[in-house]
Amino acid sequence: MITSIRTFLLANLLLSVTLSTTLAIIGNVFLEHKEFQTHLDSQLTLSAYTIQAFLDEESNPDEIQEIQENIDQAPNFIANINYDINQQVKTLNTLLKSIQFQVWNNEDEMILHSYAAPKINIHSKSTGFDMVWHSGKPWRTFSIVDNEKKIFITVMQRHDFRIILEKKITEDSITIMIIIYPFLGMLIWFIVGRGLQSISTTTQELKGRNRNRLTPLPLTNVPIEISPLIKELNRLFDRLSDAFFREKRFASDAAHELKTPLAAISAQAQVALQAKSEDTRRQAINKLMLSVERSTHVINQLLVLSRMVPESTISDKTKINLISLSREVIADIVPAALKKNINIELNGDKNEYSINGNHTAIAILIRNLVDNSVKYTQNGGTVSINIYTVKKEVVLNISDNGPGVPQELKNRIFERFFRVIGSKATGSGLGLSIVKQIADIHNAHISVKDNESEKNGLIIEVKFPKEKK
Amino acid sequence: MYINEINMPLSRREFSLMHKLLENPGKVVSRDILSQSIYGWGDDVDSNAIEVHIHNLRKKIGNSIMLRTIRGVGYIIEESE
Repeated sequence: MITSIRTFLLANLLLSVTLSTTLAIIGNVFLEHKEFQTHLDSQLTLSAYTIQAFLDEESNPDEIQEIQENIDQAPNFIANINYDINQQVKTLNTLLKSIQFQVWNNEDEMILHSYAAPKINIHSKSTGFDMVWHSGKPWRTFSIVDNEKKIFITVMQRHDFRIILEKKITEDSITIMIIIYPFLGMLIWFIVGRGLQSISTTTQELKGRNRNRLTPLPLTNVPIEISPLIKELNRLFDRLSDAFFREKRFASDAAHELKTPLAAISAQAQVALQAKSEDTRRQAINKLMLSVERSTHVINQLLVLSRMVPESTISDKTKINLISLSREVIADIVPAALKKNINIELNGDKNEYSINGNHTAIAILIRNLVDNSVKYTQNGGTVSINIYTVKKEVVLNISDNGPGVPQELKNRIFERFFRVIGSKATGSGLGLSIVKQIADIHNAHISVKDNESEKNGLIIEVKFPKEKK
Repeated sequence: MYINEINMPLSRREFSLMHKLLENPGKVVSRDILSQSIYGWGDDVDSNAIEVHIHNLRKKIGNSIMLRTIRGVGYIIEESE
């Protein structure tokens, strides 16, 4: 588990940088080794031929002696060199001593040599490059023979100086790396910090909000890595505010709807208490009971409404046979319909009208719609429930020959607590808003129109998307 | 079966239907349940068979018992007020 993204990135990035730099240095040493040696060998070769060029065929020993004396003066000159890189004077001296040469005549006498050259013959009598051990040190040598001038020239270089040089280069790289390290660390720390800024911005935004503010967080200026998190949060806020809204609405609706019946109940109770005759008391108590029943109905409907939330119903969807479910629901309503002598019928030839939905919710939808029709249709009327398919939709059509709904109010009947003024039947005004809510959850479309085959009446159509096979 | 103290002979299937309906007075009995009560489970029943039996039953019981058809749903024997 990562406790801090910043520390995690810093540590791992630095580790990667170290690893790659080390690999680069090692690679350099191995790969450049040969190039470097060739470069040094070329210097040896050049020196050897330069010396050969300077030596005359008839050089007289005295002249050579003079040259040798001059060469021997070299350390004094070198000591006086004003080298502008102070720290490197020592290295310069070491390197100056590293290249030496010897010139031998054919009588095996050393006629010329660099001032610090070994005094004995170390050359191996063979020409070209060679490796020689002398006084416990390895030397790289290059020798040439000039048969005309009868001289043998050997230029040599301490092999370990070569390695020292390589080491020095490596050390320098490491030093540079170590010096760069803190800067690199700071840079990474800063960059990662900048990268993570949006998180802290979001955190600040969240921290600063009011407890009751559940508006979504802005998605602008948010990196793509953070936006899924914010989207999820926003979805959560959405659900929460929906839930809060429902709770609040339930409470206020309940309060609003119960205020009047409670007042009525209280009044009727008082009438019952003060009633002089048994008859009056009975009447008052009967009215009281009716009010209680009505209030219970309202509360039940409100509870249904507040429970019909998308999350809980959508999670519990099954294949529903609309015909057999309608048959079950209608069977329960038939007695009430017959009391009013209403002819109720279900038309649907096949048993194949299946939709995808929540069984309880769809049952409530059908019940509320049929109940409504039965309730508002006058005695002797007809309520027919027709189920059929149109294109890719299963249609639940409920037609009655009741009073209907005036055109201008057709859109409003699904509003909560909306009741057509003058309706004789009792109701909570919630039934159709529950229907609407259930339909919305199931992506079903509701339409309301006049029943044109009758003198008056209403048709409500609910179009469900067909169950996907 | 006695109707208004008159003995009315019913066929076995008519009797089963009547029995089922009278078991649930004032409630709708669906055709599925009725056909199950006559023919048992799984039998493929001619859709008209129930209607024919009901028709005959109505003739026999006359107006003494209200046997109503709820189209598409089933049959119901109304409780007298």
